[in-house]
Amino acid sequence: MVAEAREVRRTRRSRDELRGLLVDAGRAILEDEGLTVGAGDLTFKRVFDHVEATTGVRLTNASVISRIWENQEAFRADVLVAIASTADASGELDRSIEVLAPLLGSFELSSPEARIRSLCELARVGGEASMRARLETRDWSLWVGVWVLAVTTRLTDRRRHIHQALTGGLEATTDVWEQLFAGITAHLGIRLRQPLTLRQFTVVVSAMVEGSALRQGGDTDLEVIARPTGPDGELQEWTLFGICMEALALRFFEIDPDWEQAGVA
Amino acid sequence: MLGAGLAILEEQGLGVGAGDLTFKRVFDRVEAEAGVRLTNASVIRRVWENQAEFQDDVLALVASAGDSGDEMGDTAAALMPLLESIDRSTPGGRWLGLSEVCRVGGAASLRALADSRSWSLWVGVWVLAVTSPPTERVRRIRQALLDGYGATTDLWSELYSAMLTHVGLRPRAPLTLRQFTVSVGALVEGCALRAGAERDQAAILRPTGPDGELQEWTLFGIGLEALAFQFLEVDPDWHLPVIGP
Repeated sequence: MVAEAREVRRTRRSRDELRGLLVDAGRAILEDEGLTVGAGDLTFKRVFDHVEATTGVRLTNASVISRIWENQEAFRADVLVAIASTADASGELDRSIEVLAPLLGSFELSSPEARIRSLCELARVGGEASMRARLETRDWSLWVGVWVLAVTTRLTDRRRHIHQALTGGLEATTDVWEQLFAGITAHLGIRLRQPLTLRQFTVVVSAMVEGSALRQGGDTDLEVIARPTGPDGELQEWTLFGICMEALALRFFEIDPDWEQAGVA
Repeated sequence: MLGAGLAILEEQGLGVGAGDLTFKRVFDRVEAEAGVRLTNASVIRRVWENQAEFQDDVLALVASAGDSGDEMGDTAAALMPLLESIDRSTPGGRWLGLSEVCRVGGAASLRALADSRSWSLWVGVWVLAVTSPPTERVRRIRQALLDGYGATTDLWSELYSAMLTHVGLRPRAPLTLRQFTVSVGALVEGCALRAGAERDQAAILRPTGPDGELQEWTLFGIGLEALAFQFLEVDPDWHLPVIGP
């Protein structure tokens, strides 16, 4: 005991040294094992209260335990899987379509230059709409939380299940966006530069919006940049994301020389 | 029931934290690695009031370390030999050099970030800061995130600035180097998020090598090249440095 006490005394360090030593060790442990991520506070009691308050339906443990879920933990896992599999629950796609549909109808597409200008305008307006939709909802942040759980925690059946839901959700969302982009390219008379594919464009645009949202850190104010891109060099407002969208679009697409405008003989 | 569960989590956030990080486990680690034996008495009320305060300090450290993980070191290591070999004698050569920097540096950067445990930990702290109710503790971690993010953006801007000076390029006005840095950072982080969910992403072959030879590109590298061509232009006032007398 005395020897141990001496040992402890010998290694007595200043407050700052101790702090540095322990915080570094704590960080190393977290790097090895990941943060704790979960829906631990999500109890049946709270969910029943929420259901009653919003729908008037009264539920008890007997309504669900061993009937729908074995226990509360199985219910929480299902909620996390639901978050993982809905990569676009934010309604970003719907809001983008709302903004883009009237714009598409207004474009003048009579020359290759006009078609490229239209593509840039789509990047400017659609990019901002898409980014705002992403930032104004909280469910995407939850999706990132489930990503952390799936990527950083120990490999268990639960984690595998969540990982599969993440991958499936991304695939499904990418499919839908890809169809939207296919419609837009056909309308504008542009095509992909070989050997690039529409899938790759869709994935890189999604990555751009996701990374940009991550960088915004929950802040919904977007930096606006004035660029002389309007008629006669008039200044137009661009978000940084819109500028990036334009860059990606111009890299992936080119004028389709065989395209003919619908309804034009 | 699932909808109600989702609604509650949307209101109150996921439970993200360092709850398993106990003093006992940290003391064991310090003893195993540094041979220093510590007890609760060594730290409680001397360094931290309690374990929760210690955990917050660790999370703030993760947040303030920024979002680049080991990415910058690995990227710089991949680029150094390449920068030496770029033909800078013509604008065409400089653009080709920039493309190659995007291809090689982009692959190194994405690999480093996607494999980095410290980056995924940083993303976890981001989730905590963004989704949790705004308590004093969360505000502090959020501030540390912003500080770390600002500091790493400064470092990347310096690296890009040196690279642009080397190849004779400059930001295309009114765009700025800072905006380019932020955009590249956003793209690599978005690609790394995707890489975490879909590990096996095939390389893309493009005829960008000498005489149209096929070269392997990552999707991030192609996106990076697109951003570089958008944000940068040849600096007409730049001259190839003359070496020697």
